[in-house]
Amino acid sequence: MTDSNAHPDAPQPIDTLVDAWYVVTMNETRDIIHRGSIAIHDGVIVEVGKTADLERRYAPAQRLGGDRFVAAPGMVNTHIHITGEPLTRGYVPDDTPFEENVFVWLTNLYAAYAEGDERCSAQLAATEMLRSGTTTFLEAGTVRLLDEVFDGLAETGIRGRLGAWVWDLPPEPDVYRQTTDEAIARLDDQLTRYRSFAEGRLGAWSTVVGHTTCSDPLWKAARELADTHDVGLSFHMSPAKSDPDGFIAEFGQRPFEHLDEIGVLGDDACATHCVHVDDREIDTMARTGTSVAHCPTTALKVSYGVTQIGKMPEMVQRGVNVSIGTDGNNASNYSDLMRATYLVAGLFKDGRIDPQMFPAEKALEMATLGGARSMTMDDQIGSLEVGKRADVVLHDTDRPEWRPLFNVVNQLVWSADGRGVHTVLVDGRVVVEDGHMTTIDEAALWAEAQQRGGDIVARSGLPDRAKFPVL
Amino acid sequence: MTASGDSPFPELKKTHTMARTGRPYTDYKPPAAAPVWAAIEGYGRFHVLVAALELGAFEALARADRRTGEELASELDVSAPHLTTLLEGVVALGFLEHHHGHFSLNDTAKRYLLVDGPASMVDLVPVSPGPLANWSDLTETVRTGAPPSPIDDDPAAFYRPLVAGTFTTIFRCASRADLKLRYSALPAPLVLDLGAGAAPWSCAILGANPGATAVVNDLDGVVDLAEAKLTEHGLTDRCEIRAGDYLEIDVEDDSYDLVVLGHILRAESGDRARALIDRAARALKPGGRVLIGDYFADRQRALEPHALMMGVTMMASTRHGRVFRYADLATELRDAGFEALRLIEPIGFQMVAVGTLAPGGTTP
Repeated sequence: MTDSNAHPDAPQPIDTLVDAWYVVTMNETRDIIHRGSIAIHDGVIVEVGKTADLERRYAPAQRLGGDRFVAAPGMVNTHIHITGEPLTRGYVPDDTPFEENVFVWLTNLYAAYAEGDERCSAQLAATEMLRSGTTTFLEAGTVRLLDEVFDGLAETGIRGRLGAWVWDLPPEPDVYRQTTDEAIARLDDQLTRYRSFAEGRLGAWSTVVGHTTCSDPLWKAARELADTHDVGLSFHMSPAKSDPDGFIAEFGQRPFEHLDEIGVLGDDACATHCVHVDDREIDTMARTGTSVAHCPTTALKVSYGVTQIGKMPEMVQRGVNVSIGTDGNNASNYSDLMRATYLVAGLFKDGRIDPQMFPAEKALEMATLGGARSMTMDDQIGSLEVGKRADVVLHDTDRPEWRPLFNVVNQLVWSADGRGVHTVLVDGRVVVEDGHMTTIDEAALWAEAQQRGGDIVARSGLPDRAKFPVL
Repeated sequence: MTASGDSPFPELKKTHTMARTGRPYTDYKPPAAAPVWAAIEGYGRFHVLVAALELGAFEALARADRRTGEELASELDVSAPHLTTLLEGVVALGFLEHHHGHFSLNDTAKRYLLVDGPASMVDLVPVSPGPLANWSDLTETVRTGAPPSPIDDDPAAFYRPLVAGTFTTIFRCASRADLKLRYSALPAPLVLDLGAGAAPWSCAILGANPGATAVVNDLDGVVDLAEAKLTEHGLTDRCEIRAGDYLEIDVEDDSYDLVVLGHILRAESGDRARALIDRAARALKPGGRVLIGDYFADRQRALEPHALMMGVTMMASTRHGRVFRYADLATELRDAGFEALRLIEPIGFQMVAVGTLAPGGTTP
């Protein structure tokens, strides 16, 4: 990058300089830089500071942004089903009880996916995430055809960690039935083949479905494989009372007590939902460093009771890292993490009748730094700091919800949503420009998603339960 | 009101109103006299606190968890019944607990009324109202339009105790302001501290940023207090002292990263205050920030009692001193070329207006 013959005061050539009205750095001191810029070279942030200083020091090959943009770190969605649901978004009625929702509707829709569907589904999910400011995601571990999904995602330019559908206890549906040995082999295979993909932006994780679907040998193997391959481990747990009830009936222990005892938990483990947990389980999470992916939209739509019995404030208070996920498109019909962050800031304010619950600043930390921590990527993403990957989102403030602008973080969390995202960079590469994907043909994707979604619904045999007549 | 126009409180009607007297019902209740009593007691409340501080009562209680009036009087070598009465007054102010004959500090006293308290206001309390004699002349000041003994006639004599007494609080304000301003992260900033007093802002900024340097200004008879504090903080080698009127000393154009106008605008006439803002704008580099510590009235000059009382304090002791509205200051700052205006409150009751000099710099 440096030229030994260059004059010492000559501007240093770099790939990109991103300018903004305000740069929300999320660095250690949470600096917001007025008239700031981000210097990027080789996909890495080389400096963040005042535009006046950086434009003197650097000679960028391209210059992006400008006075009307707010620059923020790409957000991190720590729980999303990128396949199985995006192509049947909204088909499941919103008044089904939890057990019916999962075992009658979701599982059967997932099982109806055919070859090619998951690639299209993953691209649709990635498009929605990128266009709303999410640059990194942790998939829920429910992919069936990993090869086509990795291939489709690589094309979009998004960053993520994902895994195949792994469980060993449920006997159905057939397409997902696995013995313990098969489940472990599937995990081992995905970690061997996809440890790192697309210049490291994509990779496999040690993901299991969780809940009460895994035997102890599978849980232990998932932990061992995570350690062996130096990746994290993620699973669903305790969105509803059925999980603690199942663990207590089987082991006489609550889920996190048992998982701690068999050595599953750790600072690279990310558990999703965690609504029905008790104080001892929270202490266990804090002691082991286990992160939680809080999915507020799912909790609302599937009636988890998160505002009544959820203990996210206590988790944060005791030092548990809580991040945010948007979950699947039938339990939470959008993948815009800004909207989910809005809910995180608001749910417990109302639930506890206490406006000091989850201030906007805390909610934004959860959506960026918290997510990066959950994915054990906090040294690479989550903030705009020197040495981190250049995952940058430019929010366009020439929009009614952005004006007037006084408190940038309040605006990001409470006023704005993903529709205001104008430009997105991942690893310094522009993947969204003027609100549209630069990497894939969006029009073709809309048409393909509609076609494939219709076919999946037809294959599933599940009824259309929309209540209003369609003429 | 009920549909019949009758009282919504029939039980009152039966026993107290026109049911017996024949007079029309009214639910008007006279306002409480409490605000009047609060004003009457104001004079006494101030002196109770000052006396307790001067006697060292809070410090003595800090050394000994809880004490009776007699025990404290013995330690402080004062009259026991008188001290007990005084401390009961402090209990009324809400700074002490009094249980079973024992006095003890409450959290407010521990935080604000101990010399080493985390947010000590001990030095601030006695000097904050200004010269006490001027309050006795307030009626005359209003009649004649000027205080009989304005501090303007001998500013150094007035400002010396004031800046010494306010240092602790303003230093804490200036230190906490870093959380909002991050001056500690600026690369080698040059600070212009006009009317610096004992230089709390320079001490805070230079203390937090090892690369920072400052030009510190105040009047001839005051600036030695700044030098003393800078010496105490080990910062003299990074400061240049420029004594004199802040509108008359030499100041370089387009050179400074921060200009501090700490609690000086309200002591000035409107014209001189505007000239100070223009001077700050010329001195700053584009992107540099002006920090204006003051007490700002609200838009209708009715809703911010602390600022309104500060206006009276200024009137009681100065010829031109006044409290102005943040809205008016913001207009002046914009006219002078500032943008990204913010009003921050680094600590309670201490407001700081912040403006950034726009890239175009000052207007011609």
